[in-house]
Amino acid sequence: MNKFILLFSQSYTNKLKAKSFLITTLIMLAGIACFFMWPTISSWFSSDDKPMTVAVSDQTNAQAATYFHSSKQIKFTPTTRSVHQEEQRIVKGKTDALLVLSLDQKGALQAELKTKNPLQLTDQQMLEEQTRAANQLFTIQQLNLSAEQAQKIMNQKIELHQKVLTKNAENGKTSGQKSTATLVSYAVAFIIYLFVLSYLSIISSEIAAEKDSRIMEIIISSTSPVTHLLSRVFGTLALAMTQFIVLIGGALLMARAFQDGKYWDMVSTLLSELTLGYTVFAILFFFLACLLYTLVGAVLGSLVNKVQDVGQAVMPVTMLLMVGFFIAISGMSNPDTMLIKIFSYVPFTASMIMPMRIGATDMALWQAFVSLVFLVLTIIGLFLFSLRFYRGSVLTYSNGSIIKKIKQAILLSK
Amino acid sequence: MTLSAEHLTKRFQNFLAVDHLSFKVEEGEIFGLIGQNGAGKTTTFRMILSLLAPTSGKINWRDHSIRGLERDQIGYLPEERGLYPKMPVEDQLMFFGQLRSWPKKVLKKEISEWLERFDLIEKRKVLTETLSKGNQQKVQLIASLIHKPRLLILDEPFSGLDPVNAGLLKDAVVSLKKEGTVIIFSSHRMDHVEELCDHICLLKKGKSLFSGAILDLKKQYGKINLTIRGPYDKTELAALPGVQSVTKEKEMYRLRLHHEHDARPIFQTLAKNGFIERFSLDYLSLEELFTRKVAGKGE
Ligand SMILES: Nc1ncnc2c1ncn2[C@@H]1O[C@H](COP(=O)(O)OP(=O)(O)OP(=O)(O)O)[C@@H](O)[C@H]1O
Ligand SMILES: [Mg+2]
Repeated sequence: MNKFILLFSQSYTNKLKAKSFLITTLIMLAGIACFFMWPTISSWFSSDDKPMTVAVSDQTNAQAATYFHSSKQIKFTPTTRSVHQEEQRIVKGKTDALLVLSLDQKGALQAELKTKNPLQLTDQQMLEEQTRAANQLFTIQQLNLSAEQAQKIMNQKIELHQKVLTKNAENGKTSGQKSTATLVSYAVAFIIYLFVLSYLSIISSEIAAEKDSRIMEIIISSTSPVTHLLSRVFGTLALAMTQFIVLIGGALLMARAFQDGKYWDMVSTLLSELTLGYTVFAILFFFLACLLYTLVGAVLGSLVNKVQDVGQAVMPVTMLLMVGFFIAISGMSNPDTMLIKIFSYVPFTASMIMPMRIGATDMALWQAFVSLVFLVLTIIGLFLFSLRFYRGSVLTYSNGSIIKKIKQAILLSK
Repeated sequence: MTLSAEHLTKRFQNFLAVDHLSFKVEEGEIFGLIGQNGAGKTTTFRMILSLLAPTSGKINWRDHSIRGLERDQIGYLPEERGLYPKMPVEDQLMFFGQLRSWPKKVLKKEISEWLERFDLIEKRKVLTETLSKGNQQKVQLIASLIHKPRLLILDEPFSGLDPVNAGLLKDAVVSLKKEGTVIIFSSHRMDHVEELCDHICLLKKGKSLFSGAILDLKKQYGKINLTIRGPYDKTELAALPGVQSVTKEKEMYRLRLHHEHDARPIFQTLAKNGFIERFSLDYLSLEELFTRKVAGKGE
């Protein structure tokens, strides 16, 4: 036990202190910071910081110009000058654009925009949005509704509440909950993908290096193969969790600090829409996925002869991971396909796909539980199997396929 | 006896790496395992370390299976460098000491003492990979014996060491031996083996050609190395009865005799010519014995 703690903390602290770990963590934090500060950053680079000035020539006799509201980006000013005069001003650069409002024969609002140069896409979109809103307001106004009635029409939103009539079936989730869960599950799948990808090669390189330099012979002969295997697996897992906590913690802090907590509110509403069951399963799946792949990485690391061979050995595993990730992405648009159902039970991909099914479909939770049990059994099975040849794999230096090496290692472990 | 192997055999698939090997090592004794490349030395060590299980036969420690010997009581210097390249020397030794359950405080003192002894004290904060090969070997050696093991296994400990450092290593090994440690090592350098070992085992392709005291091995052939200095002629010496071969080395003649008892008549013949500057009769050196044994039919 003491030796386990020694080996564990050695594995953990060595990797924690490694420059590569510090650098990747810092880069990731910087990436998150960029994401949160994007509005600020993009405003630094945006071509003009002055608002676009738009003169509004109202020829409707219905005060349609009052429906256009100035914002940071666009400043509307009603004008009484003639269209021709304004056009001259635009050419001279005194105003950026002229918006001419008029009514057609049926009494519908018509808008015409005159500019010197073609508009930037964002400005164009913003103007279109404004015009559409103004048109709506104008139409409502023409119907002589009260302000309250008008407000009601404008802010109407409808949600379809589902009620399943079969007994035992769970009540359907609202589409809001489903889309939140889809989004969060996508994030979970992405994080699993990213983490497993990097930690898989971290642990296999660590063990391959120890094997290559024969330190493993010393360690295994002074403790036991199990102690070595477990200390490396949990050392790596602890490192992954450390990084996870740092990144998530950093992200939350930044969400609070930047943009007046706008993102913080978004995150907290997002989280409040998640059910407890979903959260527990998502965390379990994340943790177990890391455990499974770390174990696989450890075994592969012990089988290769040189650190350089690690990349090649973990290749099939990263492929598997990619398959899982792409299936998870396909679930963003439709989480109910057969493909998703099948792969949500495959232990190597379940963690990336099952959370999405739990959150975004009306699946019964026992299915998630079954998938979780498969995953746990796979981990236990793999662990017990690897113990059969871990001692021997230290002494295999032959070339050949992984299967051949495992066979040889089993013989040597007897 | 403390460590013993009885009919130790290791078969890899259909390759016999160690074949019915038997030997005994007493407490406070240095035992040398010698043999050509691929003779099975490392394989034997790995079986002693329980890294490999013997196909048949057994290894005992004080009349019980070696597996009963506490892991912390064993020290092991692997054949190839087994250190963390990116770790400072001091941390490295601390790690290996702790791996054998020694407390940090005691280790700190031991480490400085050993580093001092091996002239590495200025290098203690240096990353191991930046050390020269010989210095790494010294660090490796300290790592294998820092915990004062009862059984010390050294696989090629002298590789890469210059004569001064080889001397330091020998001193360290001898002082451990005096404290009662059982030391078993392999080497290709027969001079070191001859100097250090009490008993040896000569391996050829997994088979033991000889196992026992070096002197006993020498006695098998007797004193048949004769060195003479004086005003003689090579052909004249070669013609003497009982002389197998003559080689001239500087002003010395080295004669190989058929038998030890051929020496006396030769002395008498030469003495007739008067004063003999040098006449010395010796056993074969271990090196010569080794090549003889290994090249021979293996008896
Ligand atoms: N894991 C293994 N699988 C198959 N054969 C092996 C294995 N380990 C060693 N051998 C074979 O056993 C024989 C003895 O090897 P060993 O390493 O014990 O030799 P050695 O005496 O230490 O040689 P050297 O002086 O070169 O270190 C060699 O022929 C080697 O190829
Ligand atoms: Mg060897």
